[in-house]
Amino acid sequence: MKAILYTLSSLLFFLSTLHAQQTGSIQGRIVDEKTEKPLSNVNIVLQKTVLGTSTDRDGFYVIVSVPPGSYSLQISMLGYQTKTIPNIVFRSGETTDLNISLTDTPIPMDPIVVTAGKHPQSLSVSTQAIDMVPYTEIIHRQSRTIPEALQRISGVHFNESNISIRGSSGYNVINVGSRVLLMVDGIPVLTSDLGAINWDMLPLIEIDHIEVVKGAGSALYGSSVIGGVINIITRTPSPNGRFQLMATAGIYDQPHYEEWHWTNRTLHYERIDGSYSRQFGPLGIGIHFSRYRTTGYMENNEIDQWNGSGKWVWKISNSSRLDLYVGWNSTKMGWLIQWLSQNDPFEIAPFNKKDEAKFKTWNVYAQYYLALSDRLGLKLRISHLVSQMGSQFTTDDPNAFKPGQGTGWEIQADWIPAGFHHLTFGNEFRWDISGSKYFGDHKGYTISPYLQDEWALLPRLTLICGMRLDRHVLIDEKTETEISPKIGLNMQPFDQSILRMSIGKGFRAATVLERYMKADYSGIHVMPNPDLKPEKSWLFDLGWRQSISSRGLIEVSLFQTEYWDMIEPVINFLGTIQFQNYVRARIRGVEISTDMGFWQNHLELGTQITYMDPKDLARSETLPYRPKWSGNVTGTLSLGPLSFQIEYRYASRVEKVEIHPLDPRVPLKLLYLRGEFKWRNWTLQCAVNNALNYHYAQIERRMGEIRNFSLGVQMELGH
Amino acid sequence: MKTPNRKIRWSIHVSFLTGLILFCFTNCRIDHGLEPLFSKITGRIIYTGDAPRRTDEIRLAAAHDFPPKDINELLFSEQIPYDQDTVDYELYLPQGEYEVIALIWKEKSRSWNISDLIGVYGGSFIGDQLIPTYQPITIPDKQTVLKGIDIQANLNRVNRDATIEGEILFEGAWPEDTGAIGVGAFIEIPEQGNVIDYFFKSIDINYSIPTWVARTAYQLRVHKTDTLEYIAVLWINQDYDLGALKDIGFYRDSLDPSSPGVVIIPEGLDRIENIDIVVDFSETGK
Repeated sequence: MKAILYTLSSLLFFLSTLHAQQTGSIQGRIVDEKTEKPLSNVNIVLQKTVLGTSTDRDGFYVIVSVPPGSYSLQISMLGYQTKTIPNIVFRSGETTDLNISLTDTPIPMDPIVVTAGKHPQSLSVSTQAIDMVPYTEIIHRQSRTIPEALQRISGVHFNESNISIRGSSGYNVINVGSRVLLMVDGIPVLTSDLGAINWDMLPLIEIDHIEVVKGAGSALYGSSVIGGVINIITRTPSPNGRFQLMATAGIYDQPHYEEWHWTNRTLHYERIDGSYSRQFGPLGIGIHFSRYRTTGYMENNEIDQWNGSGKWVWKISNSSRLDLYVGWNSTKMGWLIQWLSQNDPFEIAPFNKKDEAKFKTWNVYAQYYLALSDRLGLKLRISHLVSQMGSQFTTDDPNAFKPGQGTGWEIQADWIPAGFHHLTFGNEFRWDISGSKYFGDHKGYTISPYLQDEWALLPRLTLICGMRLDRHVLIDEKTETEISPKIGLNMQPFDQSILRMSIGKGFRAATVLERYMKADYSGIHVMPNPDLKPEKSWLFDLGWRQSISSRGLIEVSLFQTEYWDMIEPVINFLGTIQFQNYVRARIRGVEISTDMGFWQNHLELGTQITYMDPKDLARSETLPYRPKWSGNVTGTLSLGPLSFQIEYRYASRVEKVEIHPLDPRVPLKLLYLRGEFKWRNWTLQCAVNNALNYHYAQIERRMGEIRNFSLGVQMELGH
Repeated sequence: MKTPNRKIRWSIHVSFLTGLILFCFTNCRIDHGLEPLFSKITGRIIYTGDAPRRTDEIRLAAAHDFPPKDINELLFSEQIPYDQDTVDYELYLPQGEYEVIALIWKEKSRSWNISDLIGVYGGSFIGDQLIPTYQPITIPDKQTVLKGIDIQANLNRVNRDATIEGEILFEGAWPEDTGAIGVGAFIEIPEQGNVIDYFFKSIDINYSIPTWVARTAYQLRVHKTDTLEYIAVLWINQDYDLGALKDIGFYRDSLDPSSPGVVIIPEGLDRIENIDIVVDFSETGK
């Protein structure tokens, strides 16, 4: 104990001496190059330090406590080209004045991301494939849900709400055991009982951008990062006050075939999102809400959903900040397993007509950032996630499920001992409670120390290596330990070229439901399997990213993921389902994505193509529910206040399904037409989704969304 | 500021694009993906016997191959009424060849059991015993309607009023590729290797026998009047391939242990116990 106290006091003394050094500072204003209007909320980072800030409502910024020396300043904002200003000299006791202008760009050439290394860094230094969906894109595409917003990313495919990145996942009806980790502001939000993603847990209007890291990444994030990470970054409060309102309403068309017409009702949907945020001195506040309601386009397909959230950002000093967040969601929906028949695909069996599902989620977190010096930063967080399922498996017992509760703590340090090393290390702890009459009561915890070093071997060559240990204890039942290493290289052989390579491990511990579920539902029996082992994967990823002036970029990735002990629901000839470790699989593939601007960026063209070969090596078969080809093409024509967008999405016919292998299957061929008109603070939108009224079933006997027409209006006051 | 020429050029571009899209919409054949089924079979189901109280539902099923590898390889109709003597039905089926069209009974709170056939197109009964004959059908195109696919159905086949109980003892090491274990009661000894014979000659097959255990109790439901010539334990591989089903042990005659023991329910009783079976994996070839 004495040794610990001695070490701590020595460390504090050391830190205080660092703080006591004579320092300099930098300040200035950031404006739009064309309009010369001040830009607020611009990120400014002093490279090779943990120091950084953002501009206030008038575009001003200041960074203090910078030790003397020469530094590079990186300035970034979504919608603008990232700018790096090298060789800024700081002298002790002096303040450097630096005003900067940013050039707008519709194509995010080199944005700042936080998910790749658990700290803000330029996408150009990442060793893994990363994609980003900014808020503006969510709005332009008139997305109603987060999955809709993610659809255009290469390698990302959805089977209903089951996300698959580079073929990581197939399909299961309740999205149990996600192989993709969902995070909100860097905090994991998979449910404690199902290990599932609730895509509706926050209002869309609250999202600043979404980062998608593709491939295994347990070396930083632990369990469930087999396919990748989705990190939803929420917006920081506006410095000068911002009020936003978005409303969308739409109606569904009739099915193309008259034989399938099943109702004379007008089927429709409505969504409204509202948001207000403002800074009051050091305290920024943001509150958001949304309501989504739909009759659905099928029988028993109704959804009634409410969301609310609040975020408080308290800038305690120039070197510390406290973020508090509370999010709430309530969803009630019709529960639809399968259609009545292929000739009545929009109707369900009479005895299923009253089936419904209810979900409630609370997500609370506090994060504290402290820059102890220019080279040492700390992040502390505590979070709590409550997710409750309703009575979807039984109509007579509303208490069949207890709330799944996950409490997390994390301490993370970023230390830059020398200019060419950036060490990220810390420890994460999670405590999970879950209970249900179907799988019993269970408690468990996971303790996970991790370490990562980003080592700039040469000015254009960075080596990243890291490791994480996860000790997962299911109390009185099971203990599992996994070590997940990774290594990556990033090289910039030419000014606008990035070559990256990474090898890393991913794993996922079996969820409580997969181990212990025992239930009978609609003639399907689920049997427990307490002996499930964690599933594991290794990723090999090689990528080339090439910018073509400021007009476009091309990215090509080759990947191979090896899987062991994949946990999959196995259905036997009696309709009995049991989760089993059975698949040794290999998925190889290539992704190509391009973003180009033509005619002074009046016309933007984006294409994404993914080819995969998902092989079940044990059975020499294709893995189920994975299309070999997928992609999309989007063209956007902007003419002053008017813009038009046309998008075509394609996914080849899946070669194998599990539930009804004899059912007819078709490829996915969806066309979207969108229009937008901007007038002052108002934006009017219209869209035709699935314009060709193409009928498809990604999952057997569940018809995909039919043609629908929507109108939307947005109003924004402030920015 | 844009010159008039540039404005005209823009207008031409936009008009051209709009025209092209409209042309495509009006002149191209548009693929609408999935479509309704128009081909179907129709016919009449003629019932004999009474439906058991435990009846959950009865459906018609079509199988490209019989037995199917999986219950989901059957194409099911909607529920068929069973409270009348005859029922006219129609079953929409995609074009193709179907080896068996059968009527399957489902018990309440249990999964579909492919052994619970109560009628087969082209099949017949001797008493309540299903004769293992059936007639395949072919639907040549998307518009074909095949009429007259009539089926004789005997509900007595599943109207079981007695039970057989016993224990199964597993000796030796369980085979690594074990998927499931069943136990069945048969009216005659089925032909080895002929899986279809097992389904037609069974009175009941219970597939919910635990695996990887040393011993377990079992129960089978039969008719009071049955003479059961063969009670056997059935092994199914990890792929749940019913075509590869095989028997690995049977109830033995107490006087001649090399022969199957015959079980007859004594008059006045509806339950018989101690029909124990020993499975020795070292002798089964598994």
